[in-house]
Amino acid sequence: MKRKKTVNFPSYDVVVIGGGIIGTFILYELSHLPLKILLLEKEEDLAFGVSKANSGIIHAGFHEDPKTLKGHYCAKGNALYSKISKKLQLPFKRVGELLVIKEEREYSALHEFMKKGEQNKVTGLKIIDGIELHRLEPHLSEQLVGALYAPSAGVINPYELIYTLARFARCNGATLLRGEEVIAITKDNSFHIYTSKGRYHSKVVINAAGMNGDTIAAMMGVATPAIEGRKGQEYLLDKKHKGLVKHIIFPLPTPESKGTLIIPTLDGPIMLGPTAENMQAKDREDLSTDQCGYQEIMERVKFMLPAINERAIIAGFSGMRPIPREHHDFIIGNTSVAGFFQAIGMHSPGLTAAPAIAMDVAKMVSNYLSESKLIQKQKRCSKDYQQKEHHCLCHTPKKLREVKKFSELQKLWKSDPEYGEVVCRCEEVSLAEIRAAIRDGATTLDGVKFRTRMGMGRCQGAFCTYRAIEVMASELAVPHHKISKKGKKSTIIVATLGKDHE
Amino acid sequence: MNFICIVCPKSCPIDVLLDEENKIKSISGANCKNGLRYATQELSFPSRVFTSIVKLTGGQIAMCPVKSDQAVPRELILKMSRSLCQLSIAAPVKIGDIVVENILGTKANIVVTRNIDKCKQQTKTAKIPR
Amino acid sequence: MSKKAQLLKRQAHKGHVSIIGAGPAGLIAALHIKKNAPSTKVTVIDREIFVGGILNQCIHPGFGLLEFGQELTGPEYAAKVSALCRDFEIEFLTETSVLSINKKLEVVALSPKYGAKKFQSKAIVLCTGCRERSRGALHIPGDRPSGIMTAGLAQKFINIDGLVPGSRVAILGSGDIGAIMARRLTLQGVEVAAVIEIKKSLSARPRNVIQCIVDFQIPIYLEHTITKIVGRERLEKIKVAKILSDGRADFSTEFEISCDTLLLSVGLIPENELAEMAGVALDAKSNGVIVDEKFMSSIPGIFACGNAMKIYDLVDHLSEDSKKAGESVAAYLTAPLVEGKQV
Repeated sequence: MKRKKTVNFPSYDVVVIGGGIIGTFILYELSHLPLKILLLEKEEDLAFGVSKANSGIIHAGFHEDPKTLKGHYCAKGNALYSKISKKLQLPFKRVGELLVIKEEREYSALHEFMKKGEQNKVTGLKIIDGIELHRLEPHLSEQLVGALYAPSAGVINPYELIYTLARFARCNGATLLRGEEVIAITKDNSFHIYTSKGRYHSKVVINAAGMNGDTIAAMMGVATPAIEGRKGQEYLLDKKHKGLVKHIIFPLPTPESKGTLIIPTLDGPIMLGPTAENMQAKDREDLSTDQCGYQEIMERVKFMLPAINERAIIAGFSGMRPIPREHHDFIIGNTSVAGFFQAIGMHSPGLTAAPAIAMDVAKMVSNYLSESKLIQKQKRCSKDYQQKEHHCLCHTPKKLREVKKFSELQKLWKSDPEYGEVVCRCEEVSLAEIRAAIRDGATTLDGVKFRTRMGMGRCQGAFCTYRAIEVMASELAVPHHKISKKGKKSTIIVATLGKDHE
Repeated sequence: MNFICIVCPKSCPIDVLLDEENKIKSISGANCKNGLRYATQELSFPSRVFTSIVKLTGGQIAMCPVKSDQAVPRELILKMSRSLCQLSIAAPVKIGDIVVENILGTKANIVVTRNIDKCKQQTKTAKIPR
Repeated sequence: MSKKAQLLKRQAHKGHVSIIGAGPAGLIAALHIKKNAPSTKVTVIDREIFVGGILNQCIHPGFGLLEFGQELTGPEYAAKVSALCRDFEIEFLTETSVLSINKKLEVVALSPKYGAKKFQSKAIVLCTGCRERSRGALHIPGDRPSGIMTAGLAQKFINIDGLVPGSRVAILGSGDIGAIMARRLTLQGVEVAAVIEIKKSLSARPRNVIQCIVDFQIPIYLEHTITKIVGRERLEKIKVAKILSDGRADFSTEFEISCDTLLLSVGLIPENELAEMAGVALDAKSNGVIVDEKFMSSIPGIFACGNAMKIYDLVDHLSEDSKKAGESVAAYLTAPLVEGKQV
């Protein structure tokens, strides 16, 4: 009887709520199974929530308590990144982490972290003295006397990871819907998901809703700790200061966070931060920066790296870590409601752990579906998706800034003359890449920015925004004033005087 | 009364002395006769060169820059700008082309200040504005 | 090879100058190189479709009084200078981005029209202009909504494409571009709620202060700064406070100005990424190319003029210097060879 009533609504095997790192990773894993899957994201684009401000570190895993899920998944996830990055052809660099100390007596702390790391199966850990430390990082302060060196740590571009995972999942048949906020979920013999735009059925629901993980859990009546925000401000240095440090530099951690870091990001600019500011529940969307945070970061990083020039800062922003109240660990797996799974409270080292968690969650879901006879057990259709993914890889747009040889430049231009138009001069992003980003689903300026790095450089969009809006308006066939920074009311211009841009 | 001359970038400070009937007794500070003229004008009838844009159809760009070919009364500038909003001209246009004659009865004409060709599909050759 | 033979070879080989940037500095340098060294091949490279650089969006008057003896608007000035260029055989490569230069004076450029090009030049003249300080560089605290942009970007939006950036605007900084945009927006029916300046006086030239700000009774806040940006999607308001004598904000004086747009007009930085790539010495403070009296940089054969060298107030002054730069490039190119080197 129910079936008849709801037959008009699209029906799926699995619905993933949340298009951040963990949601898209789970979707990607599930897309290798013969399932009909859907991802719902409330923002205008993927990676617009918690993941937006991710610093891109793939942690070694010595920070985490071995008894926690963080400890269990971190080193495991770290190891998986070699394979994943190769498969998705994503740049990933194992630059190594250095946990630095400023006093001899702090060596004992390093030994403790080393022990934790070994329990977590972190490889290559080594305690080094000041001489070795300064040989590795000559610009670090003379006051630093030693470090724990973890060569397995790395950096990746988190946006690139998310959009690539999404692209692969899509080519394997997954559906991704953005700008759809889940408003309610009910369950009888299946789940009914009501969103701001529609209604869907599913046999399984996975809650990967980041900051809103507790809200989604509450819809299902699942008891979950409240998700609290812990804000982190970050500041970026002009990429010409690239090379100031080669490793990710950590101070000894605080109870709140891993401390204020110096991060040589994958794409060049050095990132300074984050702060760790506990927010009230109502303020968990407050991503403002302030002078206090700025000063705190500068003071701390300058202690480790006195050569930092504040004039070289090109941007500042904040991110929010979702921390389950009084839990301080990830919340992963099945719940009191059969078929409702969770991967929430994904704070650091969430990005690192994501591939390992996604594999586990996909396995849990698949087992649940076959055990409860909701689907017939089928083998992975590996040949089919391998072919599709190969096709997907072949269509990955090239990046102008990565082409160094003259002959290759000419070849690139011949493949598409739009590679010849440099739209973003600071980050050397061509028109071809911008068009590819729009065709990949970018509908906003930030969507293009996160996919291509357009506007992330020293002029912060002063030169490229003009052309980008023009291209977006024509490619998306909307008037200029409909183009926004990040969706909703975030328009760039408000009216058009001139010709109609339809 | 004190003015800063806006005729040229030198920005001379001009001092104007008035008599009891508000007539100019003396002007000092101006380094050229344009400055003198400016000060006299500013006292009686402040005027400015007006620049704005008008819609352009079929051109390489969407808007055409224009100016008044002589200074116009300051208080008419906003009104002038509003009246240009309604206007649309067609490419090609050349510097000096008259867009509006004797605008708002000021005797000033609104003229084009940029050479703009008709829009071609793809610009193949280098362009130097004529 | 004898010195004479070398000299002959050199004269036969005309020599090639790459000028990067077709704004006023580039055009005028090109003109005067060609005037003084007619056999030199001069190539002017610019990323835009049109030559004239930033002048094309500066539709206000105030240009050319010193140089041409008449008051011109930006596009008129550009047209006059490029008309002068047409009397000479100068190659223009528009819609072409220079990707790199090096100390061997090689230039790599890229264009959607003809792909990659490489030039071996005898001299390079950097006329790459400047960029505006961004919010990030100023680190103004607060949210990161849309509606915050540099005054120059807003100028381009409105003057070239007729795109209106907002309905109620505040302007931080009172430089000339900021003042001119205050008038431009007012004329276009946009409300300008405030001009906020950290210094004791407005930094625009007096004629712009009068014609652009005072004439339209735009509220001015001197010795004030923005303490917070508020708005999660589009800008909603800014918090403003007086500054103390040490430059910090006095939060007890904080008040709000509601606006949906904030324009930044807080200074210009010479755009010298190409120069840096070649290893040209830059001034640590201004980021301008350090040049000698002949406008030559620290690398022989690489010259610089215009805003890439130092920020000018007036295009007329810039043109005057660019003329001198062009002449000295010409002298450099035509100087006889002594032991394989130019004197």
